[in-house]
Amino acid sequence: MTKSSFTLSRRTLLKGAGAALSLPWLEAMTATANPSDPHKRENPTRLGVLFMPNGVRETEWTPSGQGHEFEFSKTLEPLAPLRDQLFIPTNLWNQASNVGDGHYVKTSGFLTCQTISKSLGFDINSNGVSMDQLAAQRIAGQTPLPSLELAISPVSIGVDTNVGYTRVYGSHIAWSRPTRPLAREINPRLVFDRLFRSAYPQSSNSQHDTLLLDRVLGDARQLQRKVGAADRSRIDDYLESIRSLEKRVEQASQPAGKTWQPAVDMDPLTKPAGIPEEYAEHVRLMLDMIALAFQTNTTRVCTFMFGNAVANTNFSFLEGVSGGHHSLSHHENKEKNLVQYQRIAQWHVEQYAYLLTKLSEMKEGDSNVLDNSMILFGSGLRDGNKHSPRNLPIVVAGRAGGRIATGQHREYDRNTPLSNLYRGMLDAFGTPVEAFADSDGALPGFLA
Amino acid sequence: MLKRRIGRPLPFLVVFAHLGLLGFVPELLSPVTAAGAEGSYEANARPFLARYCFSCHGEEKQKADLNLEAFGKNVSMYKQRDHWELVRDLIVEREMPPEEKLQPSEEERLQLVDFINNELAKFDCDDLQQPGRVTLRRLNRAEYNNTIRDLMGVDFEPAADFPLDEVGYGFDNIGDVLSLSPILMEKYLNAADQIVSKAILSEVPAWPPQQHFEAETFRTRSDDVRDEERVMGFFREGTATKLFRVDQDGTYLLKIRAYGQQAGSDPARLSVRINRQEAQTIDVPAFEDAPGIYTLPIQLIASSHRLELGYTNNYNQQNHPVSELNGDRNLFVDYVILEGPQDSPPPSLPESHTRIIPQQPELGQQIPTARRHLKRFVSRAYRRPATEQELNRLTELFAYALEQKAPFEQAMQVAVQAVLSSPSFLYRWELDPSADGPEDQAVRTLNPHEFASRLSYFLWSSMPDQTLFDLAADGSLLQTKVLEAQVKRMLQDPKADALVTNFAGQWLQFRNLDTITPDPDLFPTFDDDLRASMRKESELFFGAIMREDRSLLDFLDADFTYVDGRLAQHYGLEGEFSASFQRVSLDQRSARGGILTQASTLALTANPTRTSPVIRGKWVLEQILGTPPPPPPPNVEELSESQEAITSASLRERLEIHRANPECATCHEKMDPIGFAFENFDAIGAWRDLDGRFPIDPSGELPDGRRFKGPKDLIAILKTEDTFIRTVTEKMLTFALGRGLEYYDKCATDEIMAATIADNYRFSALVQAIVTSEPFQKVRLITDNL
Repeated sequence: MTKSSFTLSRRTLLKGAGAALSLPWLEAMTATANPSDPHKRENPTRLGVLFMPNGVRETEWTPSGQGHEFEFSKTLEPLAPLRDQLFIPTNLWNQASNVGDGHYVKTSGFLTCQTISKSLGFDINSNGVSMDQLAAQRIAGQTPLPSLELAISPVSIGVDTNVGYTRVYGSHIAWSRPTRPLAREINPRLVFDRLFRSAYPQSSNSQHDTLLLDRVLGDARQLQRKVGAADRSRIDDYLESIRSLEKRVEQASQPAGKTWQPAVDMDPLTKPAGIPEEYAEHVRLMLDMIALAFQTNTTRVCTFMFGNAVANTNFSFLEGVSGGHHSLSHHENKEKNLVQYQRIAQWHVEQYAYLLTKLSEMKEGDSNVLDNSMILFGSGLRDGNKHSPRNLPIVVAGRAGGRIATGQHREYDRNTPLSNLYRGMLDAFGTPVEAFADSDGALPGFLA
Repeated sequence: MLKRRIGRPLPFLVVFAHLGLLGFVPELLSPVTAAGAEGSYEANARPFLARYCFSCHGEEKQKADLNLEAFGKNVSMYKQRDHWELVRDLIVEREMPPEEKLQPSEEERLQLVDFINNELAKFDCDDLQQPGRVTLRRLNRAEYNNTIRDLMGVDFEPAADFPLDEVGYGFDNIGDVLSLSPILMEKYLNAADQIVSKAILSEVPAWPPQQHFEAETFRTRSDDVRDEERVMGFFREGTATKLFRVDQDGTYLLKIRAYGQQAGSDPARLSVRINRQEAQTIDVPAFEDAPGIYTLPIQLIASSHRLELGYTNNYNQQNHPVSELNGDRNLFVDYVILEGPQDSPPPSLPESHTRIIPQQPELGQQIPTARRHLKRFVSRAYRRPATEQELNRLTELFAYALEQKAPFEQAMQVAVQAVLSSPSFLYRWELDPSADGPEDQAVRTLNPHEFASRLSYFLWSSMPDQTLFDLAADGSLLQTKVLEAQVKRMLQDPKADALVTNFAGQWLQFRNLDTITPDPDLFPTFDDDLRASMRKESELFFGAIMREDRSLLDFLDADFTYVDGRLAQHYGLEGEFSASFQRVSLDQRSARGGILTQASTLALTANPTRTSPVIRGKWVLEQILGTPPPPPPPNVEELSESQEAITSASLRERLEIHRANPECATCHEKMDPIGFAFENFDAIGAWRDLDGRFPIDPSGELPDGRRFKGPKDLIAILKTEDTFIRTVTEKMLTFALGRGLEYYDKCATDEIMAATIADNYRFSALVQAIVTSEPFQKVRLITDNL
C-alpha cells in the first residue's frame, strides 16, 4: 500500500460518486433565475429581522410629524444619524395575533401574520410560513446558506401552564412550514463556523464527494416504509434535514452550478470564542455575525431574537434599571417602571443602530451593504401592559438597492395590516407574492 | 378544530383529567369533586348540559354536528370516550360555552369535569389489552452523550451545542415532541465527524513494523520488463536483488505478492535467497487476476542485508503433443513486504480505537476485516444485530473510501461516521415485524433487543451494555429472575446517576435551578455555589433512596439529608462541615427532612423577590399529588406587588383578600394552604420567623377539613395518601415509556402501584413493577401502515 493521497472530506460527504442522484430537489436548483431578479444583480438584496420581546413604552416610541419632516422620539433617537435609511410606519397591526394569549401568538405569528394553534407541543402549527422564509425559499440555491436563524437564549421548553401554550411558540419567529419552526443558533462561535464552512467548503472535487448522506438517506427511506403515521412524520423530519444539507453541499461541489463566491474574505482569526457571559456582549457578537453573513453574502436572509417571548432578561447593566424585562413591561403605568421600560427598548434600538451603522460602513461597489439591505426591527406587541398587537413598534432600515422609499415616517389608517408591509418587503426583495396572510394591498409610499 | 380534538385530548388536560381518571378520587383536595363525583348522569351532568349546551348542541341545533341531547338519559360516557373527552376539554379550556353565551361558574365547570373524568374511568381492565404505542424516539441530548460515551469510549459531551430538546409531559424524552431540525442534523453530522476523529486514529503504523519494497526498486537485468502496473516480470530464469537494512535482531516475515503466467505441469517457482543463502523456493500457482501473497519467516541480525528473488523454472513450449502443455510460463512480482521483528511491542492505541478496530487487516484482507469490525460495531450502535443489507451498504462505503486511497483507518472512520448519522442510530426503533405475522394480532411483545434498549434508556439514559446485549441475544432477559437481577444491578451501576439527573431532575425540577434569579439585594447570600449545593443535595438524596432501596415515602419525610459547608450554613446546622458533601441525620426537631423542605424545591417555587405560597401549593399539587389545578380564568387581577401593598398586610392576609373572588377560590383553597405551611422557608429556602414585620403562621386547613400546625404535620398527612405513590408511578412510567399516559394506562398504573405498596414502597419495587408492566413490555401494532 502506498502512502495516502486521501483527500476525501468526511464532513462534506455527500452525493455518491457515480451514484446518479436523480433527486427531485435538484431540479429546483437548476431553475433559471428571472433576469430582472435583484439577486442576479451585482449587489444582491438582503433581508434581516430583529425581534424584540415585550413591547415598548408607547408614549416614547412614535415619531412626531409625518413624511420626511419627522422628529425622532426618545426611544428612536439612537437612529438619528441613519435618518435617510429609515422607513417608520405607524399604525400597523397584526390582526391574527389579536387572539390567544399575550405573548406566544405574538411571537410565532410576528412574521407569519397567522394565528398559532393552541398546542402543548405535540401538534404545533403556526398556520403559515414566515415572511423571511418565503423570501429564502424563493432564492434557494443562490447562497450557501438559505437563511440564518439566530437568538440569544436557548429555546424555552415546556408548557406555560398559565396559558396552556408550549413555550416553543415563544422561541421562534421563522417558520419554513406551518409545522416547522426553524431552530436558532445561539453560540456566535458556531455561527462563525457555519458561515466559514459554508463559504469555504472543504471538498472542491465532486469526485471525492462520498456516499455517506446517500447511505443514510437510503437507511431512512427503508425505515420510512415500515412505520406508522406518527413515526413517519418523525422520519420525514430526518429526510428533510438530510436533503437540505445535501442540497447545500451539492451546490458547493458543482463547478458549473457554483455561481457563488464569498464577496469578502472571512478571517478565521475573527472567530468569536464562544458565548460571552454578558448579555450585551453576546448581542453584539450575534449582530457582528449577521453583518459578516450579509457582507460575505453567505446568506441573504437572517432573523434574530433579542429574547424569547416573556424573556425576563436582567437589564440592570443599564443605569437606572433594576429588574427583568418582562416584569418591567408589566409597568402598571407607574412612572418608576415606565422609565426603565423605555430605557430597555431604547437600548434595543441602540443595538439596531449599531448593526445598521456597521452595514453602512461595509462598502459594496459604489454603495454599501445597508443600501442593499432591508433590516426590520420590531416587537409583536406594542405595550407590554396591554399585550395589544395594534400600532406595532416597527422600523425598516436600508433601501433594498433603492427600492424602498426611506427617510420618512408614515402614519397609516388605524389597523392597516402589518402583512401589507411584508408584502412590500417581499416585492423589494425580488420575490413578490400574490397574497400573504391578511394583506389587503400594498403599503402606500413604501416602495420607491 | 373539532376533528383535531376528537380522540386526542390536549395532553395537559389528560394530566388534569387524572384527578379522577386514574381512579384517584381526590377527596383530600376537592370537596367539590367528592360531591359531584358520585351519582348519575341525570343528576350530575344533564342539568349543566341542558342549561349551557343543548341550545346549540341539542335536538334543535347541532352546531359542529354535535348533539349532546341525543345521548339520551342513560349515558355511559366511557363508551363514547372521544365525544366526552372533547366536551371536557372545551369546558376546561373555557372555549365553551362561547363568551357571549350564559357562563357556568368555576365550580360548576370543575364539577362537571370531575364527573366526566370519573365516568370515563369506568371501564374494565380485563376487557382491555392496550399497551399503547410509543412514537419513534430520537436520542435526546443526554442520551446521545451517554450513548456515544458507552459506544465509542470517548466522553466529551458532543451534544453540548445541540439545541435543547423540547419537553412533553414534563420530560425531555417524549417521542411526540422530539423533532429534528436541519440545524440539528448538521450538528449530528459534525458531531459524528468529531467523534470518529477522537475515537479512531486516522493512520496507525503497521504492526509489526513493515518495510515496503516496490518492484521498481529492485535491481534487475535490463531486459526484465516493468510494465505500467509497476510489476516486475521474469520472462526467463534470472534474479533481482534488493539491499535493505534492519535495526534489530529477530524473526521477520517476508511477504511477497506474486503471480505467474502459468504453463506446463508445474507452477511458476520463485526462489528467495538472503545474503546469498537459499531461504526457500516457493511455488507460485496464482494467476494475474488474483495474485498470491507468499510468506516466509527469516532470521535477521541488525545489519544490512541482500534479498535476491529468482525465477527457476522457465518454460516455453509451443509444439508439445499434449496441447494442454503448450504455453509460456513467466513469473511476476508486485512487491515485497518485510514485517518485523515479530516480537516488537505493539503500538499503544487508545481503547476507543481498538474497540472498533481490534486488529489490523491482514494484507489484502481490508474489506473482509472491515466488514467484520463493522458487524460488531453496528450491532452495538443500532442496539440490535446488524442486517446483511446494512453491512453490505456500509462495506461499499468503506470500499469506496479505500478506492479513494484512504488508509484503512480513515476508511473505517467514514463508515463509522455513516453509522453515527444513520436514523437507526439516532432513533430508537421498535419496528413491527413485516406483515407476515398473524393478522388478527393487535399487540406484540417487544423483542429482547428492543426490551434491552427500553431498560437501559430508562435506567441509564444510554445504550445497553455487554451484559444486557448478551442476555438479549440469548433471549433470557425477559425471564423474571434474570430481569429482576438485572434491574438490581443496573440501579447500583454508576450509570444509574442518569436516572437521578434525568428523571428526578425533571420530576422534582431541580434541573431548573439554573433559571432562578433571586434578587441579589434581598438575598445576598445566594450565589452560584449555593445554587450548585442545593442541586447536589437533592441529587444525593434521590440517589440514596434509589441505591439503598428505601421507601418512596422517604422522599416526603426522611431523617437524613446531605449537606456541604455552604448548605449547612444556609440551613443553620451546627457542627463542623467541609467543602464536600456529607450525610447528616435529622432529628425530630429539625425543620428539614424530605424534598419539600430542601432548599432546591423551596427556591424553585418562589418568586425572585419573595416566597409564593401559590406556586409552592401548585407545585405540590402537580409534582407530589398529581392534581394540577387548571389555568387561572382570564382577566384575573394579579396580586399587587407595589410597595404600599407589601407593607399593608402580610402576604397571607393579602392572598386571602384575593381569594375572596369565588372564581379564584375553587383552586386557591387547594393551593394556598399547602403553600402557607412552608412560609417559614424564605425564597431561597432559608429559615425565617418573620415575613417582613409580620409573624408567620404555618398552620392551615385542607379543603376536607383536616388541620395541620406546620410543614411536618402537613407532610404527615400527605404521606398517608396513596396519591403520592400514584403520582410517582405515573411520572416514572411516563419517563420510562417516553410517552404521555392515556386513559387505558390506568390498568397498568393500578397494578404497578399495588405491587409497590405490597413491597413496602421500596424504590426497586416500583422500578421492577414498571419494567414488568404491559405498556413497558408490549406494543400495540400499527394499523395505519401504508
